[in-house]
Amino acid sequence: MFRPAGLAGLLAALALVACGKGEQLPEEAGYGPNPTIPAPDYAALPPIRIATPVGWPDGQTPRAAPGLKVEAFATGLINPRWLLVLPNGDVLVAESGGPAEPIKRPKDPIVAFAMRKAHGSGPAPPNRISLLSDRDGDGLAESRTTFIDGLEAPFGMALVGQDLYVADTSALLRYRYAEGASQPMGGSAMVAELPGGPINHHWTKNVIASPDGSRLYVTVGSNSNVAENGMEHEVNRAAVLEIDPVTGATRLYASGLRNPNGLDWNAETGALWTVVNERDEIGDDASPDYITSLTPGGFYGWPWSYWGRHVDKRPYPARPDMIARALTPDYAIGSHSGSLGFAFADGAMLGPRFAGGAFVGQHGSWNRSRPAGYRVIFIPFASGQPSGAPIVVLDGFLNGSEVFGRPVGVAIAGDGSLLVADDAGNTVWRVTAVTPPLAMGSPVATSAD
Amino acid sequence: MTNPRSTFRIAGHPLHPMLVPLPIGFLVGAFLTDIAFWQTGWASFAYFSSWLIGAGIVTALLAAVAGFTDFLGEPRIRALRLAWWHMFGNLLAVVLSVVNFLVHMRDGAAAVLPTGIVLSGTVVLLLLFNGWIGGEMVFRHRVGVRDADGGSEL
Repeated sequence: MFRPAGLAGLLAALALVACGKGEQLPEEAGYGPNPTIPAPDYAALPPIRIATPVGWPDGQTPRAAPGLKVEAFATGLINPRWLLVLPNGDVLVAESGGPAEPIKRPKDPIVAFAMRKAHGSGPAPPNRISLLSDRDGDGLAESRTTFIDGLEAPFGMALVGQDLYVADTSALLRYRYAEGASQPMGGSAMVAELPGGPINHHWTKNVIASPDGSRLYVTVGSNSNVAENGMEHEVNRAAVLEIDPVTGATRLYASGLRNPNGLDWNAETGALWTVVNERDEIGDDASPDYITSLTPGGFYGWPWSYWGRHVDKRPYPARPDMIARALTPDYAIGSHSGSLGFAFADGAMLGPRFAGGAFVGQHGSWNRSRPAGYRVIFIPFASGQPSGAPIVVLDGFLNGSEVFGRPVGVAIAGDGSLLVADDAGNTVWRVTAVTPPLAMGSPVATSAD
Repeated sequence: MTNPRSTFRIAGHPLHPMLVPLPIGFLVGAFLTDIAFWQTGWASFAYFSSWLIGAGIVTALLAAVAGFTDFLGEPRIRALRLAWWHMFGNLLAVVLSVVNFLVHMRDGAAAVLPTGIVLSGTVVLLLLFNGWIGGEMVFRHRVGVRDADGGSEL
């Protein structure tokens, strides 16, 4: 009466239904202004592939593109995530980690375990801002001092005159900073509250000031993957907020952006650009992360649709009226690549190949059967828009099932080098041209690049 | 002639009937919270379903331990065709609930609509069928029922 073959067949059929289809498209298909967007694959068992952080072996560095070299600017940090270059060349680095999320459903402890694994077993993030100084200009920060301590989970920083703004995870704070100081003067003042706990799923908040300093723009990631905790938890989230630094008045500048982080102004067009992490658990090749210029008042689809009007059926009830409003982003940069850092190359001295365009820090994937990201790329621009295929600037972070480090924030230093915060590698990297394009005292060589 | 005896028992009283209301309650509850999610769109109802299905599976395994012990410990129970139907029906309900637990790990509506709620409803129908058969085993075939002279159980 007992038929093991029948039961095995049933289980095999169920496993097929439960697991995803895996990678179907070449990586390039998820890049550029017109990426291939496959139909969503709502597998019950999405791929989880998490590389174990092991830190950098002595003397080992990421691999730089031809014509560039990379050296450690500062080591021994704890979860360095985001950078701000000060006018005198000092560098502020936010060393932070997200707060623990409440357990709302049986899935949460599983995901929390995976995320803990992705961030390694080192000391707890100190949630401080450190000051790195390279006063002798040898390309190595000879001092690291604590600049601001006791923060909740700091991330973005912006300096307007003597006002230093810090985007802590639940408040935008203002400090007074005098050039060359090793600490801010006095304590902090709260400019505006930011959406925080108790869930605070995407906790990283970034801040940038308008060129005239009259407005601040703050990124706030969603409180979920696709609003599964309910839209009541998504107020002023998945958005870039515009904040008046004097009154703290806050309004939505652009919305429907699942998890925006890096921000920068395009010098040519004056447009504000951001980089956005798109949603998970609809397959290896969907949906691509992207960089985009922001249309004031623009809506970019989250949670109801992705890459314009590609419908995601998970937000419930459906909102066709919102999907009809969704704008298509400018340039896709790979599904699940974990793209976080963004900086235009203005001021960079890395040769003509890396002159007009943007650097993007790709922290790396977890929800993909083959890892993606784990590198820094450069996207060439022409006339204020991305133009051409991305160029890999730094890779070599991934080593089989282990990672030496994971790039996050990118910034152009005062000397024209590119700085990259590497949270899992506890390092800030400094990328320079092998031969300075205009070395002093030597004849100007014609570049073969 | 004595009645078929329960092996998993305390003071002659079978434990299986005491344990089965737990998975039945949890799994019927999951179907109700799935319906509530479908009707209201309130996100928490999908999370309630996840917890209820998980609790249903764990308590179903406890009830299964008692049930299998009775099944294996008494040849006259194994000789009942109904007992085999009861076992297969409940195993199927547990397998479907494990799949349903995975389906409910998806985010948003994909946790419930339409696969999750169909599985939850199917499991409820199966439990009704299995419960009916369980009743047949006790009320018609006197499985685990105390003998008239009161001595044989001890």
